[in-house]
Amino acid sequence: MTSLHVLHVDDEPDIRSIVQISLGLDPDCSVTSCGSGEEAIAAAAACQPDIILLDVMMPVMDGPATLAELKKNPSTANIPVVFMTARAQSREIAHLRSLGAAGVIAKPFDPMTLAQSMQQFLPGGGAHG
Amino acid sequence: MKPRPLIADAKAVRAERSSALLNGVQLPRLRRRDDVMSALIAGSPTAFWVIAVGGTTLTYINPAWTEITGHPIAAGDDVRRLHDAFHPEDAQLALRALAASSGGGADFECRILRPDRTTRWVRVRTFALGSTRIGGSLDDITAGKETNLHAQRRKDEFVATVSHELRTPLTSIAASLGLLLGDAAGKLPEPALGLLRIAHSSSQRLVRLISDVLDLEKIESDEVVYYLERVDVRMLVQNSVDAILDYAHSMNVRLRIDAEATAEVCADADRLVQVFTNLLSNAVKFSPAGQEVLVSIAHRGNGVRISVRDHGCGIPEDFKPHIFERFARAETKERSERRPKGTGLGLSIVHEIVTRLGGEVSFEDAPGGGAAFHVELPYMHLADRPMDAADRKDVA
Repeated sequence: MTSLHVLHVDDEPDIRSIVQISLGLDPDCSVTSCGSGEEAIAAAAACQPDIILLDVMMPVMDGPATLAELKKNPSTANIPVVFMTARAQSREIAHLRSLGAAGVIAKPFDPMTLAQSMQQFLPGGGAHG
Repeated sequence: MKPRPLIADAKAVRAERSSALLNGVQLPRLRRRDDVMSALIAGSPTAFWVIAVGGTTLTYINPAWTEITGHPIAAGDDVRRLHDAFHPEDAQLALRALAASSGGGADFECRILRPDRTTRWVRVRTFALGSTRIGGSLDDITAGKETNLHAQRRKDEFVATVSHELRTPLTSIAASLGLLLGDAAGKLPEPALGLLRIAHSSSQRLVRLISDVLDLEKIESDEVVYYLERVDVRMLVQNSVDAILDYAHSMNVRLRIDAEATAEVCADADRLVQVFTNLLSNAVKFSPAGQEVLVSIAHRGNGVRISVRDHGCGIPEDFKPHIFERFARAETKERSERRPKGTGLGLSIVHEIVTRLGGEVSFEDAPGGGAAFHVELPYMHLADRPMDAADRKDVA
């Protein structure tokens, strides 16, 4: 069975713990957590996750700025990035997608289906591995 | 020395005064009322000008224009030279406002670009001076405008911070409760699950309340930018129905669209979907299980009418005058356990958005029971403008 490695980036420790538990409900899913955009850029290059779940509003380097940096590096440019945001109106979603995001998950999210939601944003819509 | 006789003194004073009156420059002019007014206007910090109706040159303009705008101009100059002062980004707006009220009555704010590349905010007004002349005035409102902008920026930052600071812990609370309810931490006894359901549904309600309060606050303070574009009403209704389908299923209520036709209106798609989903979720909430909510689209006069009809308990008479007020909630006799509590802001938001889009929202008792809400929107009223996805206009 193939596994899904998610890099989760959020400056809120509580959200990081919840996402870890939530994605941990899927036995095929493993999570690496980061608390900032800078950490995420280094971690993405080092651990080459299958997908990155990225908070939009973060201090110093926000989600869009982190995405731009990830896109600049050839080793991380093709990793799908999914944004997580409390502002998920269609216009905001369209804007985040225009920046190169694979998708957007609204906050508050359903923790019981987060792993499934992540899979639909993988190339092929769920054929991860 | 022998003092001069009093009578002689009086004569001398009169003579001096008379001489001053005759030979002076300012005093003699100011004796006439028109001259007093002219002097006041010439020294006023507000710029004033006068043109003849249909005229192409300035009959009069005071020095304040040049002081405020930095663009020298004098009586006798072409009236179009006034327009040189407008900031290029505001010039179209200013000229449209002036053209729309060629007989006077314009009143707008815009920016001036001075030759030193600094900008000033000004308020421009025009007014009829009898039937043959038009007067205009221009006030420098830069100081007040900057104070307002600063206050607005601080308020925006505050709202953004509060919004983020409230939503972040709420996301953690709602997700944690969701995980416990989903047995992520092991099977819990039924009484504990019952309490968790209450906490979970309250946290969801708080999320909705925060979103609605912030949204309404933004809409009412004219901060919301409406992205006007040509939108297909039928498609937006379908999107709205899709958005609340799960909720309708959970309430065992059917949704049906009955569209005699579709229509294009000029509106903000996201905001219209917000209007329709608010009306639909209200209708579902007040529908008895097994009933149907019907959405219809019909042409009506110069616009399109979208109606949402339910078969619920209807709107109590004493609630009708307050239905669009903030935090207004009907006290119905049959309080349903299955009905989630609303925020009491949904219909206020609907009313604000529809009004600002140039439409109207109304309601009535539906024949056979239940309530019907109607949203009427004018057809494309920007039809003379080329529209595309990037087209935007602030109608707030």
